[in-house]
Amino acid sequence: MSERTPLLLVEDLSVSVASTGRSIVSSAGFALHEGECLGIVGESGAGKSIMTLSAIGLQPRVLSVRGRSLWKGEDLLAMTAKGRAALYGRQILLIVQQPMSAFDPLIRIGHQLLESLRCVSPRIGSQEAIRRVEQALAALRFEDPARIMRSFPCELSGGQLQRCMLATVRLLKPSLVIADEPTSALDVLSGKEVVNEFMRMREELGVALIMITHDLGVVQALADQLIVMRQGAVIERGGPHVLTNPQHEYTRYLVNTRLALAEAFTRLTGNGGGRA
Amino acid sequence: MHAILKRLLADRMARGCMVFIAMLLALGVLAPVLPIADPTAIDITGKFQMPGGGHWLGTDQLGRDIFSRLVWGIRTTLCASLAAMLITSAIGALYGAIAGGMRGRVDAVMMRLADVMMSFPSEVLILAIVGMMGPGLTNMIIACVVAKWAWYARMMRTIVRRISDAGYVRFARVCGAGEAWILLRHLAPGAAGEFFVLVTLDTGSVVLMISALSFLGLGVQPPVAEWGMMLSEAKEVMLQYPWQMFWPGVAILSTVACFNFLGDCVRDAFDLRHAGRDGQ
Amino acid sequence: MARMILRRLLLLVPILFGISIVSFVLIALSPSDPAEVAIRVNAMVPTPELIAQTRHELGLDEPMLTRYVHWLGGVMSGDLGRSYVNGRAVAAEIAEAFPATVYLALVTLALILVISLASAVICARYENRLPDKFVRLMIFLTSALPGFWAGLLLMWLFAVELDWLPTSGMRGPESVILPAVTLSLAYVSTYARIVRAEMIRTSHENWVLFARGRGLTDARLTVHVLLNSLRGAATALGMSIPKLIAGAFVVESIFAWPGIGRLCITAIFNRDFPIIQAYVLIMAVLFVLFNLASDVFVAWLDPRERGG
Repeated sequence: MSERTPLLLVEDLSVSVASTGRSIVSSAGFALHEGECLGIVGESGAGKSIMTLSAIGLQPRVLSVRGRSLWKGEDLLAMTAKGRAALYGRQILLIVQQPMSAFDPLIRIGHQLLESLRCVSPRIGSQEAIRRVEQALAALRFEDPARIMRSFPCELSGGQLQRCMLATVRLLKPSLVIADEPTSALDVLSGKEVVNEFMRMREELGVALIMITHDLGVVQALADQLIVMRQGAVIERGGPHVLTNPQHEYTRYLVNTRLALAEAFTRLTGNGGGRA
Repeated sequence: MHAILKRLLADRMARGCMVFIAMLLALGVLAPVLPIADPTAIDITGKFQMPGGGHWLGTDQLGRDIFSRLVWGIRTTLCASLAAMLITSAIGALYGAIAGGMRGRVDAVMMRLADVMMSFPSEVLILAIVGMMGPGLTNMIIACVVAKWAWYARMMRTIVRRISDAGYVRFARVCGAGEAWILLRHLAPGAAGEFFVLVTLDTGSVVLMISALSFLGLGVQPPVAEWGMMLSEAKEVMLQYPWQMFWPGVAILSTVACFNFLGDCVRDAFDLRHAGRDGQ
Repeated sequence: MARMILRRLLLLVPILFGISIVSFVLIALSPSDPAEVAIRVNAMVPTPELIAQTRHELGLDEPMLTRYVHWLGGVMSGDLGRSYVNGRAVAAEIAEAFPATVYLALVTLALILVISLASAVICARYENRLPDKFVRLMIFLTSALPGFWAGLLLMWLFAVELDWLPTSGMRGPESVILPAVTLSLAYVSTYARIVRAEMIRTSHENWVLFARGRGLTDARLTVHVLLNSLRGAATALGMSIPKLIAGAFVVESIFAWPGIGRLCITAIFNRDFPIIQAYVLIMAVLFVLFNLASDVFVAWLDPRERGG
């Protein structure tokens, strides 16, 4: 395989609180190629979200970022805000945590999806736009896209809202999708649906994926490579073998804890006269 | 409490405000013995003088020294406002504490009355009371008290309820009065903080109200010096000597700004106490 | 939601009763005999016979409770008594003066909204930089500004020196400018602060991050944030109308604006008690009703509360 330019190359990224200088992420980095899936795992508070948000310039304003983040060769952090804003939606799409609060509570879902589409493709006709939104929703297994479009965010469940967020991927067709804890707020069944959708997304659209999660099962299903973060630093990186044959002590601890939990879960719900 | 006071005093701006207010009060209290002109001394031939010479800020339409009238005005405007605030907060606090402490029927009835009083906009009630009772400084103070006590009552009642609610819950689990007392000492300052913030900020609005009423002629009567009334007199001679409008307005503005700023500082001082060690 | 409205309306009844009692009892505060006042106001000599006769005419010789019931009955049917000065129905005097104040209040509210929104947008965009600090300083100063002083200065500058605007009265559209600007200065700080706080709070919400992350333009994002902030500030903004109406009396006095504030002030100087009583009653009832209306409106605005 020849050396392709990575889609997103993050080098020596450090994030700290601007006023106090306290370090949140230290010298993180990764390389993501087209169509690849990168899994970022670690406990809550390890800095996974902050690192990724900072890499694309969407970190909270109280934080200051140093380092390089090259998108197709261009440094995102050195760009103007306008330059970066041109990339969001069109090329880089962020799927946030907490689907229940991911949409403007006062406006119907359909309007918000249409609005997104129009910001990215301003010249699209209104009939065509509605058709595309309905198509995208239908692809996410919504039986009645029109009803979803008419709904307010408060009328839909967490799982439905998560699928609406994923519908924006099919709608906007970016090159990179960053998914921040896509299954954490959902029950196990909805979570599985979401993972399946990500797999379909990769097959049908060829998007590159950054999957931030503390759920190792998700990573196992999707990631081509992964990095393990702890207290703001990347402590291990590699292919899926990192989970089956962890080198670093902390990774071993993560994997073992998760295995223990999974076994307990199976015991509770599987073979033994399961609880309802 | 000591920590809060220390934090407050550490803030330079807050210190500045407190110094300014203290200075004003000192000037006002000492006015009779200060070497300044008689605020009521009329000298028609010397009217409308610009600042300079014997008159630091010039003279008004009757030749009276403006600086001296400003200083004497402190006694009326500022002292009346402070008196109104103290009485209002004392009455309100007592009422609210009783209601919160008694609970049950008594509490409900007392708060009903407070609710009724709170449905009147303060300015309307103050106007009406002054209107019925007649103009005058004491009547203005009474009007302010009647219009505003209910807010303090409600706040104090909420505080007392909060403390006693927590207290009752803990009482069941706690042995001896020692721990409950500690609890009170932790809860009370934070709650008291809201009270102090309200008192400080409200003082500013009382100063504005009293000077507004005097401006309209419903407060003190001439020749007593009062900032609002000085502005009303200045209005009459606006065409001849517009400068007369300047200083009384500045006096009111700076005094109210001081109290407002202080109120914000007090709020910050109390807030930080609850925000945790490193402001997480 | 209908149940919520019904419940609030029921709770309103004892409050309204209380308001009527307080408004009525206010007259007892007067150190002088209302009958005597009524006589003097009409430039007549208050002889004992005349006083007794006036007392009987005005119904003042009956016990307080009877008088209250009479008065309340009158109020319910729209009769707010008669002015001591010119004998006209108080209700008519108030009805004449009310629209002027409402007009002033609405123009002022529009001004306040524009200034508050503009300053909130500036503060949010340039957070902690120079424009933000300047706007915050201005807001702080206006909160301490005596409204009547600002009115005087504006009047002197624009009406006297420059002669661009009229000094008083309600003739033509330009005569509302100075009163509205003066009145807005007194209240803009309150609302600008609220809107600004709401905007800052809203701009940190999760959906704003997602909106940005899926490519919404800055302009559209600002609109979204503004709408949500207004929703958050709507309760306060709703109550601003009665507050403006109540607080307009100083401005109306300075600029001789023929509204109810000026009516009340004149009544105070004339010791025309029935007008003062009616003013208090109407303002309090207005406040309470507006409170309910704005709570209902705010609940209706938010789809989260509509369904529940």
